[in-house]
Amino acid sequence: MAQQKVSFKKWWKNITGTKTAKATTTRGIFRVSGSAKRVSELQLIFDTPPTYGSQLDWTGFTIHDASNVLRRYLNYLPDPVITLEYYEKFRDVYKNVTDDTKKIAAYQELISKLPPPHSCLLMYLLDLLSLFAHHSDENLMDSKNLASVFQPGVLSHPSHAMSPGEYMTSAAVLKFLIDNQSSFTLPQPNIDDDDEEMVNFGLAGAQPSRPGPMTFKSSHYHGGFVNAADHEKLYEQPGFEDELDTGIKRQLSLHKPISEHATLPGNTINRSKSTNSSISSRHSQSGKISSNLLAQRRSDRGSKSSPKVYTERDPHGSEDTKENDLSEISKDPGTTDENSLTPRSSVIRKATTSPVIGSDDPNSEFTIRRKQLKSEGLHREPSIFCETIEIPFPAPTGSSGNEPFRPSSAVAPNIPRGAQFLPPNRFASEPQLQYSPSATKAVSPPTVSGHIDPSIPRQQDNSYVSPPTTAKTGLGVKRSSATTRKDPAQRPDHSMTIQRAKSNPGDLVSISARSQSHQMSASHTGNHTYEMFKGWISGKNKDHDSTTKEKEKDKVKSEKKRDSLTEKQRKYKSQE
Amino acid sequence: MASQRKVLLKVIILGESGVGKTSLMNQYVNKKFSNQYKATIGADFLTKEVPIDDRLVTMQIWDTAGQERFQSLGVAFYRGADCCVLVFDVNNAKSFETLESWRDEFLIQASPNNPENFPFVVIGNKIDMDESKRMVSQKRAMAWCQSKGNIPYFETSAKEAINVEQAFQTIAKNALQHEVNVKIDFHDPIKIDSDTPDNNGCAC
Repeated sequence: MAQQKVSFKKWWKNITGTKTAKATTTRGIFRVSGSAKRVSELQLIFDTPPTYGSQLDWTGFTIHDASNVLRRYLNYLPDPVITLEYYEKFRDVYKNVTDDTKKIAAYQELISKLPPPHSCLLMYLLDLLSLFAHHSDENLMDSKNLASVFQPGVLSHPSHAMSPGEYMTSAAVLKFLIDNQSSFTLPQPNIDDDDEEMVNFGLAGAQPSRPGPMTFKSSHYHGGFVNAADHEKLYEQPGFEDELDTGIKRQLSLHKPISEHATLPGNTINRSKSTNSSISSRHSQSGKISSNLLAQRRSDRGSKSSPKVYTERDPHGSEDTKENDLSEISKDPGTTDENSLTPRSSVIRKATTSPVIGSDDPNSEFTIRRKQLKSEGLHREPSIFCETIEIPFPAPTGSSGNEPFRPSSAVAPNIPRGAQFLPPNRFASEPQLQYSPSATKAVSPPTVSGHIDPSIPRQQDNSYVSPPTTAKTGLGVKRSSATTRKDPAQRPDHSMTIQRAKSNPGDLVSISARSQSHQMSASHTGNHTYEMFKGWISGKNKDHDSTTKEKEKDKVKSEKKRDSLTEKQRKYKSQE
Repeated sequence: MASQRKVLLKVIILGESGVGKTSLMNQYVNKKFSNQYKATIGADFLTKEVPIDDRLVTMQIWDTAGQERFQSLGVAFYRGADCCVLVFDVNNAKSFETLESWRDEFLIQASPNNPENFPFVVIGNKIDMDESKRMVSQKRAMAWCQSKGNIPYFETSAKEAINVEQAFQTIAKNALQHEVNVKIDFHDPIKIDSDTPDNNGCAC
C-alpha cells in the first residue's frame, strides 16, 4: 500500500476535515503498520526532554507512523484503558445483558466507575474510533476491525493472554462501545450551570499557583472534529507546559443530553435548564481560584455539590472537591448552526482565555468544515465537548503532602457521578514521587488505584523493581525483551503522551487524556516506577542521578516557561 | 508403548498486518478464502492433523495480529513454538523489509534454546496479484533467506491456494524435527523411549 508522507499537522487537519479527509479514508488506518523505525523514532522524540517533540516537524512521517504510535502507546500502558479491575465487569455485561438499552446503561455505569483518567481516555478513544468507523466504507476499518486492533490496549487481561476466544469477547465489547459511543458520557462534575463567576474563575484559573490544580485547556472536541488551530493556541496557554509535565488529574467537560443529567445522582447540572436543552457544555478550571469566591460558591451551592461523599471519605476531601469549580455553558439543543453556538463560545473564550477556541467564527476552518459535513449529512452531534481539562498536579517539592494516600478504587464506587472528579489536592498530597527526587525511597502505597489483580505477578508494593533487560531488536531501538503488560515499568510513561499532545495540536485528544492516567499510575506505582519509565526509551535504567538532574532541569525550565506564558495570557486577556 | 505419544506442534505465523496470515491459515486448514478486510484479534489458532512420515501430528497454528507484535501478546504466547512462519506480501516491499525485525523479535520473545537452528519458514504471499505490482523479487527474497541460514522460502497465494499445502508441509516437517531435537536435548533418558516408537510408524 502506497504510503503518503505527510506531516502530522496535515494528517490531523485531514482528520478534522479542514482539508480532504485523508486519514479517515486511508485504507487500513490503525491496522496497517507504519515503519517500525520511524514509530520508534517518534516514541523517542516524544519521550525526550525538554521539548518532548513539541517542535517536531512531521515531514517524513506517514499517517501510519502516527496512528501506530497511538496504538503502541495504548499497548504499552501499565494498565489497559479499561483497568484490569473492570475487565470482567465489562465483559460480563456483554455476556449477560441482552437488551441493548440495558447494556448501554450498564456500560455507562461502569464507565463512570472507572478511575477518571481511564474513563476520560476511554471516552476520547471511543469518540475517535467511532469517527473512523464512520468512514469504514472508505478506510475499511469498521468498528469490528478497529475493535480488533485496539482491544489489546483497551480491554485485555494477562490471565487471558493465551485464550484467543477471550480476545474475541473483549473485542466484541469494544465494538459495542464504539458502535454506541454516542450514548456514553463521562461522569459529570458536580456544578451549577451558567455561572458567570465561573467565567471569572476561568480567567484566573488559567494561571497556575502551586501547590494546587492546574488547568489544562484542551480545545473543543466536537465529536471528534477538533480544530487544529485551536489546539495550537492551546499550547500557548499559560501553565500548559507545567501541566503537561506534572498533570495528574484532569477534568473535562462534555456535551450531554440533559435528560441524563437529571437522573444522575449528585448531579446538579442543568437543573435550571429547560429540558429541551439537549446539549450542554461545561468546562472546568481551577488553578488560581480566589478563595473567597470559592467560599461564596460553596455556601451558594450548599448541598448541591456532594460534600457528603467526600466528607465520608475524607474531611479534607470535601474542601478540595469544591475547589473544582466548574463553569458550564449551555448550548441550544440540537443545533449545529454556529450562530447558536455563539453565546457558548464567547463564554468559553472568557473562561478559558483562549482567543481562538470556539466555533463561532464563520470563517474558521472548523466552522466551514462543520457546515460542509452538515450538508453531507455527516456532522455528528458532539458527544464529547471538552474545553478544559483540569490537571491538578503534585507540587514539585511535595510540601503539602499531609493527606494520606487514597487509592482511587477504594473510593470510586461510592462516589456519585461528578464527584469522581477528584479533589485537586488529592494528588498534590500524594507522595511526590514523580517530582521529588528526594522521595526515591518513599514507600509506595500498598494498594494502588484498583489496578491490582492478584493474578498478575506484580510486586507486592506495586513497584516494578525488576530492571528491564535490554536487547537490541531489529527495530533499531533498544527495548526490553520482556515487554508485556506485566511489566508496565518498561512501557512508555506519561511523557510520551504528553509530548504527543503537545507536539500535535490536533493530536488525538485521547492521547493527552491518557497521559493523565499514566501519570496517575506512575505516581501510584512509586518513584521507582517513574525512574524505570525514564529509562524506557533507551531500554535501560538511567542512573538515578542523571534522572534527577534531568528532572530538576525540566522543573526550572517549566517554571521559566510558565512565566513567559503568563505574559501571553495577559495579552489574550487584553485582546478580549 | 502401543499408543504413541501424541505430538503437538506449535507453529506461529508472524508478519506485517495485511500480508495474509489469517488467509493462509484459513486456506490451509479450512480450504477457504475470504476477500473480507478483517483484522485479526490479538491471536487465534486452528489445529490440523497432519501426517508426516507415517506419523500423525497435530499442528496448532497460531495466527497473530500484525499490529504491534509482541507488545500486546504475552511472552507465554511464543514459548514452546516449534516453528515460526514469517509471511510477507510480495507486492509490499515494506512487509518484506520488516521480516528481519519480526524474526529478531521472535527470537527474543520466544527465546528458543538454539536460536541459530530454530526453524523458520518464509512465505511470500499474494503472488496471484498482477506481476506489475510485484515489489519483491523471488531472487531478493531467497537471498535474504539464504543469509539467515537457509530458511525455506515459499511463494504462495492464499487466495488461489497456490503452494499453501506445500509450504505448510515443510513447516510441519521442520517443526516436528525441532520438536524431536528439543526432546533429545532435554530429556536424554527418555530419548530411547521416544525414539523407539518413532520407528514403529503405527500412528494411523
